[in-house]
Amino acid sequence: MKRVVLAISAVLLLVVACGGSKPIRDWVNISHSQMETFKRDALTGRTSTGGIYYGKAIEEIKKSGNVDLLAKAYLIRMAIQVSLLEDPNEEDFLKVDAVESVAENKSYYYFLTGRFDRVDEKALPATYRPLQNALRNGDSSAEIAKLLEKIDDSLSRLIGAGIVVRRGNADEATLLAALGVASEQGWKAAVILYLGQLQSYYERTGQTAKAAATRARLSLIE
Amino acid sequence: MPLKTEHKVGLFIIVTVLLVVAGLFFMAYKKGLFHKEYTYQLSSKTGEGLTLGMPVIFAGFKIGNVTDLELTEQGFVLVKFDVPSEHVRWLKADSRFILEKPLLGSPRINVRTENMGSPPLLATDRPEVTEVNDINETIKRFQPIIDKANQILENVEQITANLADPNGEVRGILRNAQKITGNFTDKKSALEIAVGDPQSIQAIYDSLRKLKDITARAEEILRKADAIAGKTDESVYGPEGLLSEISAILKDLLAKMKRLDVTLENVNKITTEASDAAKDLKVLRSDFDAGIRAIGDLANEIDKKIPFKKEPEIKLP
Repeated sequence: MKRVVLAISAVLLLVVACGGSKPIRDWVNISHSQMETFKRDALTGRTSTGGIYYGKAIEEIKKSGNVDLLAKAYLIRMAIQVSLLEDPNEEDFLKVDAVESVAENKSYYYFLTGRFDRVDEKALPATYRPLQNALRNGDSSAEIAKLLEKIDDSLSRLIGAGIVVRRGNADEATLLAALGVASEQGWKAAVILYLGQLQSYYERTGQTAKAAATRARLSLIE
Repeated sequence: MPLKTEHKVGLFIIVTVLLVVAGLFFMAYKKGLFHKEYTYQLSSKTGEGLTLGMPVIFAGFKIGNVTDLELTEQGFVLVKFDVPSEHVRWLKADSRFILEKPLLGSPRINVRTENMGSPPLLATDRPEVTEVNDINETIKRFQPIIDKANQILENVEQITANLADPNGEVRGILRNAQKITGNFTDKKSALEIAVGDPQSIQAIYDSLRKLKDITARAEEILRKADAIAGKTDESVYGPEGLLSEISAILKDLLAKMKRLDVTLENVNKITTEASDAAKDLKVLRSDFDAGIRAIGDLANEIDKKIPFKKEPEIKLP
């Protein structure tokens, strides 16, 4: 019995010891959490508070003097803007890029802004590579919608959809994919946006019944 | 030879009677019935307040009784009192005898002996009884309070006189109040009147919004902690584990939130009582910032306490 107790205590001690490993640095923890809150707020439509959190995240990153991370933070804002079909704010990123250019960041920047021929695919996050390839080759919208569905991460899928829609060759499947992921995550701003896109797509293609149904759905949640 | 029943009964009765008598004697002895008593004399200018049987007290203990009061030929009152032999030692030639008339309770003669080495009091000595009257003392003590009350009344009178005076200070205050209420019609909000600066108001509203978000964030972290609590883990459940630590932090958070709640209420009041809150507004503003920062820090602390958490990394989405 004593041995069992001893063994259990030893294991527990080990577990506790593991838990108390290296403490997380404050600026890392705060910048990350503020950035996550910014993303969530922007996507759910709480723009005023989103701005505050974004500012705080940038402030924390600046504490470290890490230029690469600063560039990534600016790119994240651009990506969120693209996913919400807005014109991305490029200035800040370009300023940082002029000081220190990182291939990964630059490729992502070109991808977000739709300059697919300038993207270095090897430097682009792996999840976007098939989509980037298809967009550069000018594949059919059905093909592109299929590739979008294959992107696992919800935000990445929405960003991909945003890029496709902004390029102007989005079909119903692409819009539904974006709407699906936004609705699943509760990103209200994106839900409203893509419902609006879907409605105008139906109107453009003469599907009045579907357009009316989408408009009704939109009016319920707006 | 065994005793007869009659003898037994007789013996029982005799022993019982003896025991009862012995008991009675013992009680009488203890009560001082067999002690020798000494009679002493005191003189007093008046017999007022003196009664037969009045107790004589030394150091809070009763050491004797007044047994006789006489008006002498010389016109003073002779007070005689008996003291049992064991208490005689407390009475010295220089002892002082004070007639006390307390506010509550019956009057008594208090003996004060400062020097125990003095020669004993003689039966022929006639020290004088002095008087202490609690009622008079009390009135004396109240006198300054009554004086103060009079002063206050005078001040009140001055203020009311000031009110009547058209150039008085009170009228001036009223005129200022009128100016403030006049401001209501010119400016956007009561808060603006108090601060006098639209930007500060925006900052206050921003702070309020921030507070709401931080609370939401704390809730989210708690949910995370709940999920971890599902695992049977000493680092979670133990007395020094995560949960107890979190609960301590939360208690702190709750206390701080309550303080902020009060502050929020003050903001509500500002919109109705602009003039009143003007002086508190700077304090209010820093209170907000401090409170919000404290909650933010706490949320961050809780986040860090979650075990096995990897260091987060900002990645391209």
